[in-house]
Amino acid sequence: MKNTKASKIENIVGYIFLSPWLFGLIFFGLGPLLFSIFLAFAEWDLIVPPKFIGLGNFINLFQDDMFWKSFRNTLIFSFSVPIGTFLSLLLAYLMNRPKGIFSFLRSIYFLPSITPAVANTVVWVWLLHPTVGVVNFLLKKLFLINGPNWLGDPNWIIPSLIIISVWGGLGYDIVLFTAGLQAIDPQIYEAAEIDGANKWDVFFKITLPLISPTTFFVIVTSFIWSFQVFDISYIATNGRPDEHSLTIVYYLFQNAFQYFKIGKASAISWVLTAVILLVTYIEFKLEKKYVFYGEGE
Amino acid sequence: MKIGRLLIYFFLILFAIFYLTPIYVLLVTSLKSFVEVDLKTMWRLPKTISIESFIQAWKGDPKRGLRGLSQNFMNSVYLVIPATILSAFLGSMNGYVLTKWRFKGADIIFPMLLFGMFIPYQSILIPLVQVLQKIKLYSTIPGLIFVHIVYGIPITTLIFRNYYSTIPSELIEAAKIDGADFVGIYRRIVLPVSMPAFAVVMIWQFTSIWNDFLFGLVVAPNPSVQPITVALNNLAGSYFVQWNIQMAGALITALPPLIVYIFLGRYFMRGLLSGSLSGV
Repeated sequence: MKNTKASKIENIVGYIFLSPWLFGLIFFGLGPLLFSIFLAFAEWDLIVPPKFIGLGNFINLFQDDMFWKSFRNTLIFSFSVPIGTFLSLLLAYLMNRPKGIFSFLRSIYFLPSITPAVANTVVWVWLLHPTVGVVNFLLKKLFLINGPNWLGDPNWIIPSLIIISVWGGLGYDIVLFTAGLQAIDPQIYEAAEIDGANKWDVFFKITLPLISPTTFFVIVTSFIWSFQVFDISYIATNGRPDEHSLTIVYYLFQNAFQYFKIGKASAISWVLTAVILLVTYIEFKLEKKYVFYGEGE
Repeated sequence: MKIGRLLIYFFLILFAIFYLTPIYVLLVTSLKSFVEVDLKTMWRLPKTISIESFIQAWKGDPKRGLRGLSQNFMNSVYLVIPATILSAFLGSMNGYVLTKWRFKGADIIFPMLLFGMFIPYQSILIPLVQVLQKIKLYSTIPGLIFVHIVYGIPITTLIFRNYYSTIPSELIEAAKIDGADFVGIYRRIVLPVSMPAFAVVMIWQFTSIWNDFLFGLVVAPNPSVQPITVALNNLAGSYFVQWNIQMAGALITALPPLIVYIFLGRYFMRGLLSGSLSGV
């Protein structure tokens, strides 16, 4: 900077531009964040002032049967990630043309990604109804199968949530994969064809490695979302989950806003954060091994 | 080879039909009167188009204590418009400062921004409610607007930052030499070329704010300020509410993002396909 006065003004104006965000970050992000770390080590029912109890909340939590059940249910639910990633990659690959009917189909698949999860789930609650729902009606008509009591059956509730979630998220992942597929240089495919590679070789040895950054992005973000599942389980259980349908964030919500066990709820949120960070860390470790970012020039 | 292609097409069409069934059933059922809703005739188009379900879902039925969605629909409108516009503008200003203006502290600002994106929002819900109670914004629409702006800024900033990094810095330098100041450059050079990024950001924010459920549930416990997603859940949760009314309610709730998508979706798709939402 040649002119110090001008650069001083630049600094000030720069901060003025950023100030709404900085203000928000401090009062609604960092502040609450620090407070919530404190609360995880305290006992608080919103009436009596918070009392520091050390690791009490965490010890309590790890001995809590319901917490482990919610953890287990959330883990099972996260099978929606491999299922959704596989289906969306398959569909994106088969529909990999920039224009025409496939472009239209892609925008159809995208529809549930922009409508509220609440609305999607309300529709699915009806579709999955054991007696008046379309799904069981179709299973009976087409395959002569007596469908389960989906949302009412302890063994089927989480698979039902997986169906609802995959249905809602498929279109978004298809678009991301399509972007990755379109970015591949057609000359690579031509070269492979000249070398006599068959379709499977091309897919596994060229396409898959070249779109691995997209696959990585889809898997990382989907896992984070799947561990935070709340909306669909709230609506599908009509606000009354049991040990077979309770998810981690739901249990957090119950403790914070229904039982007013603020300390315990904060502890749950930090355990959840730790789990998400751990999974993401493992994914980034695997990234080094499996994700291909080009040769670099 | 031909047969292979044909099988693929067959599979794709079958899967698309399967995928679209819920949407089809939703549409035809919401246009039926209650007497016509029957599992066996689910597929048929309504004999007479009835908007009775929409009227019931919209206005409610005070006699049975059924709350309509009309007031909550308007709540969501009052919430989503300012929150979308403000978070987009703030994101644009931040993106400009972060890419085109070197000032003291700029280097630590960006990591802080990313950090803000990764704060697990569940962990701050409880203190957030406390803060909103302290400043008397708890259970108000302005409170919700505030929350959505604050949590929207990191993503909007990131998209604008990616977009502005494609504007040549020489352009900015030239304007500086010509004597344009900070605000002038933003207004006359940066803002006019920002429209594609604004389209992506505003559609993204509009849909995610409209579709939000958890913040609405936690920050607005009072039914008269609840956004429509929370109200739809209440409507669908009442046992006596008929399916056709529930479907109409779901459709009313989904309509604004659908309309935005139908008219502006291609700008959004273009943004998505060019990677503005997938790359940091």
